[in-house]
Amino acid sequence: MKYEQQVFERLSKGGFISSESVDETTRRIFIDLDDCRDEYADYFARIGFILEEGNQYYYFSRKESKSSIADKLKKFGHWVDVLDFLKAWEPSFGPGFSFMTADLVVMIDSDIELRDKASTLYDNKARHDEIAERLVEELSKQGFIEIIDDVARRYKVTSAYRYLEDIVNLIAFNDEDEITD
Amino acid sequence: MKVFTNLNELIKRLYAERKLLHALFQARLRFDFSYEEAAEFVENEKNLRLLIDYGVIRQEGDLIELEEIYQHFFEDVLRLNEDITSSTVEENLQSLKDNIDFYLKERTHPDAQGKYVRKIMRSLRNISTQASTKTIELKRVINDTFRQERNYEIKRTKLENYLSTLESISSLIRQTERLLEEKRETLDVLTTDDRITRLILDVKIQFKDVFHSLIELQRTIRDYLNQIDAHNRLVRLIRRLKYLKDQLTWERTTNVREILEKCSNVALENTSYYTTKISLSFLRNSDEALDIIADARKSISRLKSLKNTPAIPLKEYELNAECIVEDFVDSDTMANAFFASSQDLYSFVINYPYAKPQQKERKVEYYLEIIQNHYHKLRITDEWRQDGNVEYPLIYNLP
Repeated sequence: MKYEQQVFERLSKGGFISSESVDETTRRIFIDLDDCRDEYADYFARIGFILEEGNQYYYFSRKESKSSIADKLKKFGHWVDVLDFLKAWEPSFGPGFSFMTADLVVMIDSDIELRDKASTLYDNKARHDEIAERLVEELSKQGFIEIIDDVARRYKVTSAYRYLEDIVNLIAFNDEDEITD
Repeated sequence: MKVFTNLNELIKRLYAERKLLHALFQARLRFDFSYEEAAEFVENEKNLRLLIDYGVIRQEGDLIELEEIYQHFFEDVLRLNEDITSSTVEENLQSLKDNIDFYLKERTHPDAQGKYVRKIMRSLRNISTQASTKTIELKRVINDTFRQERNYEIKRTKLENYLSTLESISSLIRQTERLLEEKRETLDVLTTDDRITRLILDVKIQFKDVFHSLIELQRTIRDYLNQIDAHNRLVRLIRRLKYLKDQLTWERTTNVREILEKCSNVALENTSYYTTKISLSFLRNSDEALDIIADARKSISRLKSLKNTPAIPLKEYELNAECIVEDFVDSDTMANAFFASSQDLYSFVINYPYAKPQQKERKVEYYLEIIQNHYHKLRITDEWRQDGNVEYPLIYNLP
């Protein structure tokens, strides 16, 4: 257990630590987390954080949530918008997928469905390049994507992105038949 | 269409145009190789026409492509074929059956039988190599399709097709094995030595390997298909969830509320910032802190000194509302000045120190204005003078 501070700094702000991160330090932290998971879990349990393990990523949760259900619904609702937009853009968008911000802008420009979805993502952004920038910034801040080429502004989707899909998979619909159509 | 008369000629021609053929082969999946582009690879256009005449390449409008037969040949030899079928294995199995049959019918002619023995061995060898190369190719194609095909529906259909190809290959292997078993007695005595027995043994061993790979491949395809289904389901889930959310009914029609209530992940909280106070003992006891305090002190005093330096006071006129100076002459003021002087009115008006230089015509106007407004205060004499084109009476103020 060598990286308590780094783990705390990354995870306590709602971030993720993914196994196939581009950043070598993050990869090393992940390996250490994997090796001494129980020690880390005990350590953080003492200050009220639960170390959670997903498929190739780690994150924090608490015993009792700090935010209200309304806030959580709002925040998750926004992520549903983002997921819907990303899947409409590229069905294979998921861990390992890489893209350039410029590609995204071009697609928003040319696809009417995407344009429509993009316009509802952010309240105060109207220009397509601004929306794409904001989205990329938000995804990378949360740790769902990482930059792999500064010059071309190419990003890679990390395994932490599965977190969003995993929550969606948990949700059951009252009218299950309609989905299986 | 011309036809190559012998293999030598064909190979020579292909070798001579190898650059073009290489380029065409590389572009075989793009279908956008133009005639002009092709002309760059040959010495002269005649050679290009020759290839078209011989049916090596085909011209479709402006585009050039490799004839199907050559493309398939290259793909087969280089093992790059995308479309894998079990047909060749099937053909070989049929020819094996036929040749065994012919062999039996030629009982009376041992010379003719020798020909069929060679054919039987050849078919056997073919079947086993074909089955194993097809399996290896299938493995490559399946992986490529799963990784590179981005349309999920096409990907699914392709993988399902590979699954059926795979099944037909394995059924052919089973049929061949059965045939070998049935005709065992005939086959064992085909040759005087044990060549045929050894060959059959080799083939059987190879079949076993292929069979194992086929089972493995089948598992892989099923796994991929499951992944695709899971993915498609996820996409549908997201669409539906988004729809219900936009309809504002998702809290009632789904269990999202329960899920989120249970889930207390930090990722769903609003980002919190931790502010910590600086340690007092650190400030008191360390040299480092002393430097920091000095720095802080400096920047604070700089801020303060900037705040405390008064600006230069504004001048009186700067405080007044801005006024526009108009070119206006007050004839009353002029008249009052005139009453204090002893000059005649005309000379006074002409020589009056105006704020701005005035035209003579304007000055005459002021002259008339004063006469009109202050008529009773003026003493108008009968004496007339002339100034250029203006003739005027001498006017003085009343004593």
